[in-house]
Amino acid sequence: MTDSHETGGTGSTRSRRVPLAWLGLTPFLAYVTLVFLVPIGFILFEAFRRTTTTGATRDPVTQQFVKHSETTFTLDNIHDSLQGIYRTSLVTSVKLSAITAILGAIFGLLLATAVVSSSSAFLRQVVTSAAAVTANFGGIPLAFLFIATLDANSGIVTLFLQDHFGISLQDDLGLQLPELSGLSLVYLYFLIPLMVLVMAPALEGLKPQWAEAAENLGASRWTYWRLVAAPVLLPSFLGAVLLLFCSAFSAYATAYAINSAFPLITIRIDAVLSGNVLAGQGNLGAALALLMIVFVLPLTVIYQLLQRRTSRWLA
Amino acid sequence: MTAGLGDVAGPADLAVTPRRPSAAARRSRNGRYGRWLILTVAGIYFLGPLIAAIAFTLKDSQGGITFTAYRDIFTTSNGQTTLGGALVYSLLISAVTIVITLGLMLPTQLLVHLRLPGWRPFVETLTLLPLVFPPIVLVVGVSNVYAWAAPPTGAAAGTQESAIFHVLRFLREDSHPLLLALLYVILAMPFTYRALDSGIRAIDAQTLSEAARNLGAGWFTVLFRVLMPCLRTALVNAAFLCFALVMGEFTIAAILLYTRPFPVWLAQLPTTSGQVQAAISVFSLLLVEVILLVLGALNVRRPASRKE
Repeated sequence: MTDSHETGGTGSTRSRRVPLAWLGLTPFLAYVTLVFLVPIGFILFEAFRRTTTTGATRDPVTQQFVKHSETTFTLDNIHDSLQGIYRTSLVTSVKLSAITAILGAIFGLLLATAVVSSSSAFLRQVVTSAAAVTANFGGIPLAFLFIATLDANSGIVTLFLQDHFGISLQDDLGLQLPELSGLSLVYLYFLIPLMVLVMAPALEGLKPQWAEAAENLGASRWTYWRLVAAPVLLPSFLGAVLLLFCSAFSAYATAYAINSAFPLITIRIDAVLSGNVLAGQGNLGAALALLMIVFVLPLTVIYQLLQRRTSRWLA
Repeated sequence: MTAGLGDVAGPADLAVTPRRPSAAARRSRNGRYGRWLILTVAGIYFLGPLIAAIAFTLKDSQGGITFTAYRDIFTTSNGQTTLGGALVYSLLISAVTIVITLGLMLPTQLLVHLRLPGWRPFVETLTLLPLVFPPIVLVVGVSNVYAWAAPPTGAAAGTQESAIFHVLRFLREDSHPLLLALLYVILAMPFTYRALDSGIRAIDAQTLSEAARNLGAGWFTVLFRVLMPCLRTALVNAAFLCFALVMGEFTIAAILLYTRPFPVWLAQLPTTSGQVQAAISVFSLLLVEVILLVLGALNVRRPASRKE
């Protein structure tokens, strides 16, 4: 209070500055709101609304004209999205994602361990950069790579096994590219590298001193892994499994290019929208999208929490 | 230093108790066999499809070798455009995406870093949100907005459109797919934010900007002539992330009925051109790998040259 003149001076410059600085965030906030939050908000809104031309029918409306329709709030979309073919595709999506997340986590951990424990810096460099590429190599090209390899009629490996060993990939080995087994194999192609990318820093964070200390205290290698390394790695590992699950669960392009009729929730959403943004099934699509959010949102939050817990030990 | 200690402890052990190190050696040999087994299996799994796909592109129906797939790469059309057209289209989208991303994110993140550190968690959370909502969910939202703004189906041709729908339709237009670029900025945000953030943290932005301001530089000079040159690696990384995303993104583009972006074009090629599709797939993977390696080399070289 005594040097009110000076504080008043700085205070006034600050009070002139702070609102200006705050205003600097408006382009970013406006952008995120308009391009992201509003569309997402529409899902929450439209999932609970339905436009009906005839009040009685519950069928998704295929209206030619909507002049006398009425739009009401309802749980019908949510109800429908858990029935019949939608239910099947949700179950299949969860099954595929769970299988590939767990297998991808196990194989990815093995690969990451093999690479991190290797003394060759070159090997580590090559595998890490290859993993960075492959983990992001989803989508259409990946599908065509596997179609060229494993397609039932013209796949190179399919024909090779048939011509040289008389083995049918499809009948003898049970590997059908457009089915759960084949799609799992394809998904692992980008999930294993993702696991390597996530786990490699965690494995490198295991201090050699811990292993030495354990060994000096008489622990076997197995005891060390069970009592020291595993507890430290566990949050990171579980987090990675969730990340892989979400990644597989959200994937669309690869499965679509291999088998556009496969019952996955993402493919089903596409079919509901059927590419036509003006068709009247947007509400059912919104309900299905909401269903996906209900799965992915909690898993991502848990993943973030686990990551935070991991960083306590593996800084 | 700790490694040195470990090196000394090993041979010392060997001299005192011969039994344990032999067990350790056996274990490490087993470990090495295990490692090579894992690496071999991984190598077959990850390289196998690439090699098989290359073999597939070279095979003709008589079992001989043919290069027709490579001849047809530039002429095969999905009914709308050929490879060149698709690549140019996607490159344009990625250029717009990069410009919007950098124009939006860099000032915002610098502002948060220099002036509004209290806002950091909020801004960071916002940028991470797109990870929680898969592209297919976002596109459902966009089509719902579109359907809401659109005039009712079957309405007379003269019915006036709402201003929002006018804007949306302008953004969606096939000739200048701004809508895609706008959405890709959001999809890339979790990654571009982190790329820029690590760059901004690595330099002393506070001191640099204050020094420049003291020397009489305006904010424009600070941004373009002081901070951005220091951040070029981070800017290149962020730009590459945008580029890679745009070049691979299929879901949103396909559902919004675009036919000319590269991944959509690739997927919509006629079924008879399987060899062309495989050839382009292999090359797109190799191309991304090469770009990543080049960027990696850039990232490694920069700090080293600064130290000198």
